[in-house]
Amino acid sequence: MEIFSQVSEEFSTFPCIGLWKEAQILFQQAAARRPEHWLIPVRACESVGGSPDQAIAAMVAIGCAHVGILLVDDMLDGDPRGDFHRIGMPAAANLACAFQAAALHAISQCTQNQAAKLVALNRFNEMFLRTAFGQFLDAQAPADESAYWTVTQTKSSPFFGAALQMGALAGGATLGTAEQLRELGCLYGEMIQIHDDMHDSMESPANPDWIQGRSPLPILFASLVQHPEQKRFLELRQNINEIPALQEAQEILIHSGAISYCADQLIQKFETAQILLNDIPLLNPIPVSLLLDALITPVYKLLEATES
Amino acid sequence: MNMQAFYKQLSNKPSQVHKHRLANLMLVSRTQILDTTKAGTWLIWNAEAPIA
Repeated sequence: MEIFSQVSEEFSTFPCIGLWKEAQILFQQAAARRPEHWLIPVRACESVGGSPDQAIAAMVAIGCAHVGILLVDDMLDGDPRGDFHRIGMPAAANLACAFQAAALHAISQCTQNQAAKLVALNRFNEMFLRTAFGQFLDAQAPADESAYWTVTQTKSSPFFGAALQMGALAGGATLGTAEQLRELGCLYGEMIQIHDDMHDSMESPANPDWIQGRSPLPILFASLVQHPEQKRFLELRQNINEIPALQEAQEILIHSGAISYCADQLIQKFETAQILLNDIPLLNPIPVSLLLDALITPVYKLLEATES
Repeated sequence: MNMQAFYKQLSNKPSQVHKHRLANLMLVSRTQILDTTKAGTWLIWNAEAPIA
C-alpha cells in the first residue's frame, strides 16, 4: 500500500476517530495532498538504517500535528483559505485539540524502546508548547529583526526538529543521534520559514501577512532598513489591497535588497546545517542531505540565472 | 550580520563574488522568486497539489 494511504488508514484506527467524520475528512484531505513534510520522519528513519514502514507512526504524528497547527494558524491569521470558515471557529478549535492529542497517541506507538518512547513523548509535547508560543508571538507582529528570529525559532523550527527526531527514534537511533537530528531539523525549519516568507510576500492578491500588518522577513527588511524607497514602501503598505500598490511594494522588496538578504540567510543556514550534518553518525546521510538540497538548489539556480 | 549591515555592504558596490551575485538578485522578477520558493512553504495547504 502507498505510504500516505497507510498513514490515513493508521489514523482511522485511533480512539474515537472511527466515529468522528470531520476529523477523518480533514486528515484524509491533507494526506491526499501528499505533503512533503510528512515524509521527513521517513528520511530520518532511513538515514539511521531503518525502513520506511518503521516511520509510519511518526508520520501519522507529524501529519496530525501539521493539521492541528494549521487549523490554529489559519484562525490566528484570519486566513481566507482556512477550514474554520467552513466548520466554524469552535469546531476548528475542538479539532485542533483532537489532532494534538492524536499526534501524541501516534508518538506512543512509534518505538518499542521505553526510554526512546519517553524522550519522544516529552520532545513532541515540548514542540507543541513552543509552536503555540511562537504562534502567539507571531500574532503580536514582531517589530524588529531580533523578534522575527525568536518567532521563527519558536513557531517553525520545533515542528521540523521534532519530525527528524521522531523518525530517527522510530528507526532505532541512539538518543544522542536523534537529538543531533532534532537540532539540524530546527535549522531546516528556519530555512523553510524564510522560503515561506519570500513566497508569501510575492503572492498576488496580497497575502494575509501584508493585510494584517505582519512582517515576514522581506517586508521587515524593506520596512526597517534605511534605503531610498523606505518611506514610499511604508506608504504603500497602508493601501496594500490595491493591486498597483502591491505590485510597486513587491518591486521595492526586490530592488531594496530584501530578497537578497533572504537568500544570504538561506545560504548561511544551509552551510551551518551541512556542518551539523557532517557531525552526525548516520549510516546513510543522503536522505537528510536531500532535504536540505531541495531548499538550497533553487536558490543557487536563481543566483546563477542572474549571471547570464 | 544583521539586515542593516547587510544592506550597507550590498549598496557599497560589493567586490566579493558572493555579494555581487546577491546584488544581482535585486534585478530578478517576482515570478522567479515565486518559482524558487514554491517547494519550501508549510503553513498553507495549497503548497501541494491535491490528488484527484
